Amino acid sequence: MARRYTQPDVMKRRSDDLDTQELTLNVGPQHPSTHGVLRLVAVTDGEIIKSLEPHIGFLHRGMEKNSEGREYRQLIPLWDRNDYLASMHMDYMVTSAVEALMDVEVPRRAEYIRVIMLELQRIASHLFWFASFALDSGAVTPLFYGLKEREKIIDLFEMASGARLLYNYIRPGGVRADITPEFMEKLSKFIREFPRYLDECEQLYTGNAIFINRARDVGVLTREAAINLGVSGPVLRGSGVAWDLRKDEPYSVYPELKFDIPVGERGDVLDRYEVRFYEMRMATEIVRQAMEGLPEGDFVAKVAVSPKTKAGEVYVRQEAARGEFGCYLVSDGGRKPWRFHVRPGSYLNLGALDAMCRGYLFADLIIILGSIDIVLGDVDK
Amino acid sequence: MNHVLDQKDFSGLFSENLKFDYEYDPASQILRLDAEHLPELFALLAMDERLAMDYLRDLTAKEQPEGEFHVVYNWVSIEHHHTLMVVAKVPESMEVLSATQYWESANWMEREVWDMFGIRFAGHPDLRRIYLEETVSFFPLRKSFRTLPVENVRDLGGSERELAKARAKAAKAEKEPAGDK
Repeated sequence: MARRYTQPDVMKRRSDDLDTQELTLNVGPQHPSTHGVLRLVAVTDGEIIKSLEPHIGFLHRGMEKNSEGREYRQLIPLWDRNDYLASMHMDYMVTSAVEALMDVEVPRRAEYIRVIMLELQRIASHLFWFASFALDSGAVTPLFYGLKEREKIIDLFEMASGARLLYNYIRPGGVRADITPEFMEKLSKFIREFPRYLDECEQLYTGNAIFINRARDVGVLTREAAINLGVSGPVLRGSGVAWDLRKDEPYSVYPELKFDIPVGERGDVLDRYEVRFYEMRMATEIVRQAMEGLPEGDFVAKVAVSPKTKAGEVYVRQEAARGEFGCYLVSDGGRKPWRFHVRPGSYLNLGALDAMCRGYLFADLIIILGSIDIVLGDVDK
Repeated sequence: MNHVLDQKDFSGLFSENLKFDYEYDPASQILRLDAEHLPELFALLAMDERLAMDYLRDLTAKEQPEGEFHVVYNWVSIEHHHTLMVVAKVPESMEVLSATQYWESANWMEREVWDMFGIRFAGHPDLRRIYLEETVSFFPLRKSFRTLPVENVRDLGGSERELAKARAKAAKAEKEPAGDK
């Protein structure tokens, strides 16, 4: 006699009788959406992330130790490679640290050229972020839109510095080469067309209902947590803190330029997205003002090829594309730094990933990671 | 040396509240002290409303030529727009108080200092190496850790041109005796 199989009546069991257990999931180190070599270990309960731990250091190159054996002029091309999507900001970081320990008056034309380059770099970096972030959230088309426009900025950088990715352009005393009338012509064309392009991108993507449903109220970082965790840049402003070093601790010629600081309300992924888009508009505005106010004169002050600094210690910081780039330089009065420490923008932003992900779905992890815009080369130094 | 425009002088505040030896320079906004006194300092910086150092932007360390270690903190008050750099001398036990109880941002930065310098932080929730493997036995940013020699012409004690000249001369000297034979 065949035994009849009886189906257990699962529907009758109440869900709270079910035993759930925590599951540890590994993402990376080799994962297409981790923007480099990053390993994430998530403890999940069902689909909810209970805690998340990033493991970093796969790209650690010992840059700080390397810097101690090198002259200041050699540090610029070295640190270029740290955050390769914002090389101009890295150049400026090294330069401003060295200049702070030197008696050098940077010509005003050089400062204006620097501001133009820094803001163009911000736009280029945010465009790359837009391209990859859209890919993270499941859209492919914006990748081509973002990279196409970034190409124009890279062409401009190539005209000015000769290089397309690692520029070695800003140096103690000024910049390496003056900008030409052809450069200005091409730049003004770019500045004219760029706001229209941003409108197009926003029509294409920002208003998309699927995107908004994925990004809104996801990965919320409160104002207090953001300050306490030390995040910076668009992540901090997305959480509602009006803190921008260009305004709050001004450097270079930023006090002479007029611009606004975008601030988020909810501190979610969508806020960080909108902050970056508004920053691109403001950066265009800053470049336009800097072009109008560009004074005549020298583009570089007289500085020794291998400059010596005064003995002392200094912490300089700047608002870079990915947050606060700080640099702590200790000099013993020679041609080489005694200690050269860099506080990368991405480092502490990644440290806050755990706080952003707790309580959200595992599927949101990648979009939250995309929204903080990390460069692992920068995190790992 | 900080570039903040509205920097305040905390001399009065510090002399009122800090009952130990310290060195404070209002021009450069650097406070130097021994790391044993960090508990009092942390409490003052975090709790005092006139200071309200809510944002620990950087934490690192350095080794002095004479071999002692310093932990370097950089604070900024987002509320009041002022900054402070604190340089704390690490005792021989190589252990200082962790800042994580007040500022969570110290978590990863202290792990980095432990990794690179071997300075321990008492009260840190999870003090592991952050960049290197746990099995590594050295602390690379100490001056006693030597890297392989770098091929740098200036390290050899001359300018590039002088070295090129010397090399050309040596090459010529090598050639000439061969020609005589």
